[in-house]
Amino acid sequence: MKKLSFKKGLLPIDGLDFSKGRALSQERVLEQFTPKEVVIPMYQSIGTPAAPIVHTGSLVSIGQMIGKPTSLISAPVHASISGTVTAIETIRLPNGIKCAAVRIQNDLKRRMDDAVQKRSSPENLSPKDLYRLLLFSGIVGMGGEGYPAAAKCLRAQKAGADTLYVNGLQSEPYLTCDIHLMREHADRVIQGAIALGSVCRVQKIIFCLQDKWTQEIAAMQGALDRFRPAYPDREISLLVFKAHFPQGYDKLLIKAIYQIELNQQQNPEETVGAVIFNVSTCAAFWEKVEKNLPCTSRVVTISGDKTAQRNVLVPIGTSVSELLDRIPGMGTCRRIVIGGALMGVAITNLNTPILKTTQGITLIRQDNPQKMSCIHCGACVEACPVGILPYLCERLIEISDTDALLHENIETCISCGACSYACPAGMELSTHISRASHKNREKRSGL
Amino acid sequence: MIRKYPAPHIRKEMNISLIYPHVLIALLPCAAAAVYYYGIRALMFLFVGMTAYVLFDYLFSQYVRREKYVWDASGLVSGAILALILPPTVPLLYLLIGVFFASVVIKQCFGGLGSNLFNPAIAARAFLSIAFPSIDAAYTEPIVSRWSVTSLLYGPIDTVSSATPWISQKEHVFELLSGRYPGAIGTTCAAAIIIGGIYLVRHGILRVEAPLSYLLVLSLGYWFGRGTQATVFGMFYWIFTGGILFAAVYAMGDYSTTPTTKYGRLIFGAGAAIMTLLIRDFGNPSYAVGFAVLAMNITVPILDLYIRPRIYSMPSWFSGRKKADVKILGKGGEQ
Amino acid sequence: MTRAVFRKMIARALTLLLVTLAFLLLMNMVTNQRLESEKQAGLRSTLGDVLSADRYSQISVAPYLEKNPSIQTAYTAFDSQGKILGYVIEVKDETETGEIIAKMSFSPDGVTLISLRVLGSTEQGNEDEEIRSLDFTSQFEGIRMPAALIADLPEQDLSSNEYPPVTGLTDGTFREQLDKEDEAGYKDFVEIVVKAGRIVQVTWDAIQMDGGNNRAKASVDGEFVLANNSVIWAEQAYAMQNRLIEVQDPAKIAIKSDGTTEVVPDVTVSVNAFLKLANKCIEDSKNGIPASSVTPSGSTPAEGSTDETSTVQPTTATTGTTAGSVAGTAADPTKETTDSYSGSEDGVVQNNQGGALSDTIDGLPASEIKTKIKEVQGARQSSRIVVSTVNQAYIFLKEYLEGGG
Repeated sequence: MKKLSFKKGLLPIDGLDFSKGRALSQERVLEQFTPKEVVIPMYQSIGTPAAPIVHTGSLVSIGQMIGKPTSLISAPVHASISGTVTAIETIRLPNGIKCAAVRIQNDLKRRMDDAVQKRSSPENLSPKDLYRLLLFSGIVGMGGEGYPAAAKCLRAQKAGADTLYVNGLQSEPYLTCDIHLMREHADRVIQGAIALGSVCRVQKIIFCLQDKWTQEIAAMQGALDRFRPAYPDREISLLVFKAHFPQGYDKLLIKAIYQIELNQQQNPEETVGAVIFNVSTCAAFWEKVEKNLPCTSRVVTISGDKTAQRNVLVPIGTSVSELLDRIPGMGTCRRIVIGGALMGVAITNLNTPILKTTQGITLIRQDNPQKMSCIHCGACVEACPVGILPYLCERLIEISDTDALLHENIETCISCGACSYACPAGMELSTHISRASHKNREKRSGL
Repeated sequence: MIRKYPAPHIRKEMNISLIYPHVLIALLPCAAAAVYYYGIRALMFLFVGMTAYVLFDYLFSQYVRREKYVWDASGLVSGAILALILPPTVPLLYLLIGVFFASVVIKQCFGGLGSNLFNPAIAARAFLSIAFPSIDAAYTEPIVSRWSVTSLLYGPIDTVSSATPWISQKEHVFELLSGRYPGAIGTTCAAAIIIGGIYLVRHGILRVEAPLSYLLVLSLGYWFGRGTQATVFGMFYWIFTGGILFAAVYAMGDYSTTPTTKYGRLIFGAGAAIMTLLIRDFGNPSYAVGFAVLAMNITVPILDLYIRPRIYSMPSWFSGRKKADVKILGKGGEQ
Repeated sequence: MTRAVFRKMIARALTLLLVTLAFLLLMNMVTNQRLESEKQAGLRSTLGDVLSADRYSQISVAPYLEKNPSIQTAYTAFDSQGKILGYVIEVKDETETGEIIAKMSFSPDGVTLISLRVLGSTEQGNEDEEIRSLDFTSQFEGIRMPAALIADLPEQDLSSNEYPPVTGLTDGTFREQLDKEDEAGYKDFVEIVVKAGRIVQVTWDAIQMDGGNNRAKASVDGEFVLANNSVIWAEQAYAMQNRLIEVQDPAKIAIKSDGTTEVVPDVTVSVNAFLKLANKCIEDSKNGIPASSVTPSGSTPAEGSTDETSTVQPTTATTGTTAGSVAGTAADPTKETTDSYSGSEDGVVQNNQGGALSDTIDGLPASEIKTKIKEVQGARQSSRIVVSTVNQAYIFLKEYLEGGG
């Protein structure tokens, strides 16, 4: 099968092939985690935060809505454990935003909400029904983007999209949550994708995988073959990609497939008629469709450069500290990163909750190398997927030449961190450039 | 206990403190050949070159530029390269002058590690050729008086004039490969340089665009220039002698003095090849490689400025310098 | 750099080093053979015309360059069994007009010149060709060293054939000196050497009783000055010496009443003492009374012969001291009448090397010269230089062989 890729970015030979030397987690059964309490923030998606509808002291059960959407681009929030609401507080999320959060004390009874029950014939639901299910499922883009799935489907429908891409690329190192899903629960993923496809009214459903996950490709192929006969009017297929680093980024995905480059204002649905969803999103939707269980837990990968890898099914809102209590030797790691090692955020406060968009927790033990001066090697230029010159931008930032920075099109930076990764001198290219790019964007929009 | 760090949180393993030791290791075959052929003198050159370079670097950086000096192996690499491209009878004083020039004038005065415009070792060699022209005629037969202690101070006594023509005959292919002919101490053994080059490529330190384009354009130039008289052996002889291979691996592979983009490096290699051809055929051949590299070093800032990758969602290469309107490429319809 | 990485790098470095060394050694072995045979072939083509051999091995001339600055290269020639066939030496000598390069081969003992080729000369036209031609250089085939141009040799023996010797002379060295010194403190002495019944060498000098230089040396140095602007004493003594050798009998030297002689030109001092002593020496020779004392270093600048003549016994087979003997020479003893004092044909007023006083040629005593070479007509200077190169090579080779080879 032909392998697609875009032209630049980091390759596995750059050291990103982290599976070698350490056995990839081959566990078949997902470990389920039961926290003592959860803190569920209201602001887990792009758009406006949800508004809490429970009070302190209320009894909640799994799947009960505790925050209602406040606009069209907003997602409801559901309780992920059963128990008592102990507080409604304001917390600060890793990206710096403050929002309301509901703290629930687990009563360990696992009471499901009454609405949560198995559906008799999920395949017969009409697109309109599916859409309504999606609207109240609280599902957001679980690959980190966080765009409410319902709004996305609406947008796709309006734009007349004809292809749905299931993004199983997972190009960040150390993370394998989607991979696990695709290997063990391929059926769920596929059915969820098909259901989403019905909502968006697409004809083609294409699953995207990296070429190094051969087992998963085989599993998906097998599952696809089983499901294809049931949906003769849709075209369901698999697309294999070369293992590049920011390949999972939606704009680069589109570029690899269509050779079209979108800028900031455009979105894939309108320009090429493609809508992209994450694997976890599809699986979560199928849970909703099949069992009417909204988005209450997700698979999280806990790994690191010295830690054994494991995937855990974690209720939304579990605090990182509780989760990591189970990891031996955690105290010696220098950073705890929410998300991937390259684009994640290092947290200082261990009481950060796991959000719907959290793909994993990475424990970094290695120290960064000593910072030295730029040797003009050009490694950053080779690594940058969008074609800016990071060393030049860094120099311009250093001398605060903002006009030249505008000329350098620094706003195209997608903050993937590949330049800093590749820099042999250990310079903080990505941070400075992202910050400058934000400043430029603000300047440009006149703030 | 756990402080806040910005992303990304992992780095590539190959960083500066590892790159230069790798280059040193790649220089080991050349140094071994040099010591094998020229004995104590080569050892002394290498030792003096490397330590003097680091010393000058440190002194200047610490006391004149007032910067805290980072001890890395880049000084050792440049010092070793300078020592290896000299003829064996160069007096020690000239070597020291050359090292001073390379380290203080070319590297430190231009901004220290990574900011130098010229390749320090090549520039110092060119400087020595101009300031002390007698060294270009100071080649000796290898494996003569290698271990005599007098060669430590005075160098081998019996000199021959520059490159010997006998090696251009086809039967001498082994001499050509193993470097058993008069020349600069480290650049004659073609096999050693090739081994070093392969080692560097394998570790991802040497970017192949510049050396390959250099050698390719040189070969093409040889074939077209010589016309009917060109032979395969003649081409190899032409390329393996005169320090071309050495420059291809260590001067074209130097990070700070070559362009940062792939196409820039291709142009760099081609330009250096053309200059080498011209100087070799119409000028003084002993200056060819050094000055060609230096000439292209000057052009690197311009190459870096104008040859850049295409910005995502911008139409053309040079759009980095112009404010371009946003357009969509390819299919997908108009906006 | 972590320790594991460091160790890995050391391992890699060592591997590369070993690989390269192995490669170099292998290549060296492969190329050694061919390079050697090529070099020998090259040497054979350049050196083979003077001495053809199976193998040539270069001699390092550097230690000898101080005393023998003209030597360019030297080789030992071996035959296929490894026996030394001889030595090949290349000498370059410079003149005002240019340089002459000569290539020659010597026998293993360094005494016989086997062959000579002149490679470059500074003469124009015919002379140049003649210098290089085999006519001239064939004179050098197989000669005994050292050699000299006929024109340069003092004429000790040439005219000796005209005058018969005094009869009854026994061979040896005989010396007589005055009993009293003169006013200046000099005590004259005369020493004669008789070989084969002929006087072959005469020395007239005077010891300074106060312990200074001998009179000859003093006159050269300017300490002892004669009145009335005549030639220095040493030259006059020299002229007397030569005359005696020529005429063999002191009685035949015509003396005026004041003791000076007109027959020998330039001699203005009184030669009575000389004649008296010379007669005494001849009497000694007739009677067989040898020189009883070791000769103090006299005026003869030929050191080599001085050493030899200090032997007490009159030996008959002393090598190298038979001055002017023509044993073994290939050159025909043509009589050259040109005097070494007068200006020679090519206009150069100098005498043979070493000045008017010495009878050394290229640092070798004239008495040692074994071979006389005929010069090329009109190119005396160049011929002399060719001979000089040969002698220099001989001296170098002697030194080299004495130093152990």
